[in-house]
Amino acid sequence: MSTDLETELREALHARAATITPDRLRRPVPARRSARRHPTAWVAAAALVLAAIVGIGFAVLGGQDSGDRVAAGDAPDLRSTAWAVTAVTGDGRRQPITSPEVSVAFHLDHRFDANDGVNFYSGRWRQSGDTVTISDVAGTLVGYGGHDPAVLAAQRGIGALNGAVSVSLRDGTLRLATHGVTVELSRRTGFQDTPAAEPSPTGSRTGGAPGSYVNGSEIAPAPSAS
Amino acid sequence: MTTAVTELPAELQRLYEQHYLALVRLAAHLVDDLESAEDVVQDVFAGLRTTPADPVRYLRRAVVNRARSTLRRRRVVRTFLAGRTRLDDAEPADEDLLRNERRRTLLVAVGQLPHRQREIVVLRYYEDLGVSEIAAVLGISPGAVSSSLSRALDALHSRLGDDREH
Repeated sequence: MSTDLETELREALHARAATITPDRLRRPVPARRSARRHPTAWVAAAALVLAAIVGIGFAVLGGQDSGDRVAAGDAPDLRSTAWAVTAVTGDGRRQPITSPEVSVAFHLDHRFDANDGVNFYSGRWRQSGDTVTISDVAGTLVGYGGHDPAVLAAQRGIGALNGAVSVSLRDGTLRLATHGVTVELSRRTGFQDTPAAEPSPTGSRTGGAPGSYVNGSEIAPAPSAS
Repeated sequence: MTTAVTELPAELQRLYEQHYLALVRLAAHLVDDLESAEDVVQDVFAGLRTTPADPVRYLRRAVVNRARSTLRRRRVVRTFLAGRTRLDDAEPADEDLLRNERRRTLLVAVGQLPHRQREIVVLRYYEDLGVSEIAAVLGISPGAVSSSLSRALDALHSRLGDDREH
């Protein structure tokens, strides 16, 4: 249970860190995932939405949790777990997220899926102790022109999940912290982990399906699944 | 002294790209000014020859250690920093938040903690590490982390209480 002082410390430190932006650094920091539009983005959107629908279908039909691998402690085992985002903290502000759509999943075969309520993302994940490294993230590029703080916070929180992410589990709340953003999540029950689809002749989902993007650039189909 | 990091091996270059900003932010909490924070992180990468087994933990530890060395040197050359950009002097992303006097007071108080306590506070409340993780990063026992953290929080409570009385 956090005290007021602890909460203030978190907020103050994160607010100060948020003032350090890439443009203030002497050395350039490579751009993170871009929201740049591309004409073939809709192809990726359709593919990922279809994949998500299939995944949800499996979850509904299966209805069984694949096992409670997450133990209480500082470094939970995330394999075969799915989580709903409940809050995103950035710039010292904590924004509760109530939409059940905003979620992430860590598949046993190291696929990573995420949904910020507007776009779907998929990539790869690896865990080493208290650090999860998320890579090869590709996502749909549906635009959002609104100002709903919960939607914007969800986009920021999910968007931050790229690269090294600190992970901890306390009191049933999973915290993913990276780049000054902390995402709080609660465990989703009934998650049915599904194996990756066989790579199609046009490439795997995470390795470069046509119309997939990494860091704003279209990626070529992967030669083979890793 | 800053060493160029553009010729790192590919794997280290990848680590650099992934972690540079986050590590600069961590270092900035420990050394207060952005230029020194960048120097700390670049020197850490310049000292790498191979990819560490647990790169994130290694990099955190290296940044904390080098930041501590920076602070020790600064005692001797404190005046050098007069012309540098103190982090809290920079234009904040959210002026309303950062102008909050209590938050400023709190950050100043964190900066005035003994080095070890400051490191523990930053690792606990910025990096969101647990006691055992902090102990591993700092190379001390979990008990030492807990006691230092407790003393740090007491000191911060006291400092904030003092300030509210004035």
